Amino acid sequence: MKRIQRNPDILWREEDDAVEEANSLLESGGAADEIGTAILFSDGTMVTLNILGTEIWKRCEGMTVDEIIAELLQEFDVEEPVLRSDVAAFLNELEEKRYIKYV
Amino acid sequence: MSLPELSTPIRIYWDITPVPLVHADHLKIAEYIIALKILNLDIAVTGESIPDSCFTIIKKCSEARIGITLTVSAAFFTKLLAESLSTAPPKELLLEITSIEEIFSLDYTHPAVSGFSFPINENNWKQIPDLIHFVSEKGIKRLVFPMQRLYSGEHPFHLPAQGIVSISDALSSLSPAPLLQITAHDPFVWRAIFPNTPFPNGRCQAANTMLYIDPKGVVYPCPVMPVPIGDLQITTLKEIAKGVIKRELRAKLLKLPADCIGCEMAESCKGGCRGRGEIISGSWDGIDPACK
Repeated sequence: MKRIQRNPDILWREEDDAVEEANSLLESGGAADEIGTAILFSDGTMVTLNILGTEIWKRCEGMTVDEIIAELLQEFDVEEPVLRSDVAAFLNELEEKRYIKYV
Repeated sequence: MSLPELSTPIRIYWDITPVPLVHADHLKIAEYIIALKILNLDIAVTGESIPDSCFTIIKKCSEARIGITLTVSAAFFTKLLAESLSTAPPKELLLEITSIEEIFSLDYTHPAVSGFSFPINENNWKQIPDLIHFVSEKGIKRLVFPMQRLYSGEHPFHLPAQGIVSISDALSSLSPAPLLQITAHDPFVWRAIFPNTPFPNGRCQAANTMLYIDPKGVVYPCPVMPVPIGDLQITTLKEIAKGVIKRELRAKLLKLPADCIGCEMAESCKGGCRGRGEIISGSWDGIDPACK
């Protein structure tokens, strides 16, 4: 299976305060989908990611899709088919934006 | 679309020159920038020579994964400078020009050069269409219309309304060059060049996605907003970026200027350049004069 590589031209960072807030919400059973926990910046364009997007993005450095899903299943309380679908959709979007490529 | 509100900026504009009598501690400021996890640092050095500290700043910040855009005076760009930058090259090297005629004596094809920075003023704005045509034809990849620097009391410039129309008309026949990336920070310059594309930043981003550091180390929300919010000789960039002065200012900027309420364009321009409006009217509720 092909491995994923981030486009090195994409500048990014995690938002520490937002990560803390999102984790706190998740621990208390709340939803953290709307909290932007990472920022991607390229050619003057900024994209924010929620906590799941951030965790996927952080793993887009040499891992396969299956490896990413296996790790995320350990971290998130979610059914595998749902996660697999979410990850696939997110990676497709990143690939369309040329933020990642498969090698 | 408007960019979200951030806890700390992602972009810093830092003018290193003209070097003041009391030197700012460049390396200390670079450490502050790294600590704040800034994504892009735009350094401007518009003098005859580049301070040695500049090379160290570029190296340290690049190692910290910060994208560096370095703008230097085109007249002083030399092969020697390019060689000096080769060990720690910036992500982008822009040559600052103030007229299209300057280009013809430049070695702009040097591989280190990404493109041009063209500060717009009352003497050169009519050259904007010719400049865009030129860089498109030559395959130049970057053209930046930087924000005006107003911290020394300069009078703010804006395009006249007729100028916006004439620039749009002059560019209407131009097929966009696929590799050319144009950055226009002024929403009305953007409207002149890209009349059919909404301004990408949405509302004013002063003190949100960006901060500006002047050569003395004084921090402003934006180069066009000469309202100091801190001094790096006294405090850290993180304290300024997370401080109450910045947050209170940002809260003001999130509100539409009172003088714009009811304007049918307000939804798209969101008050335009708030720094320019404040300077001319003396109030955060004043209209950006470019709008009139």
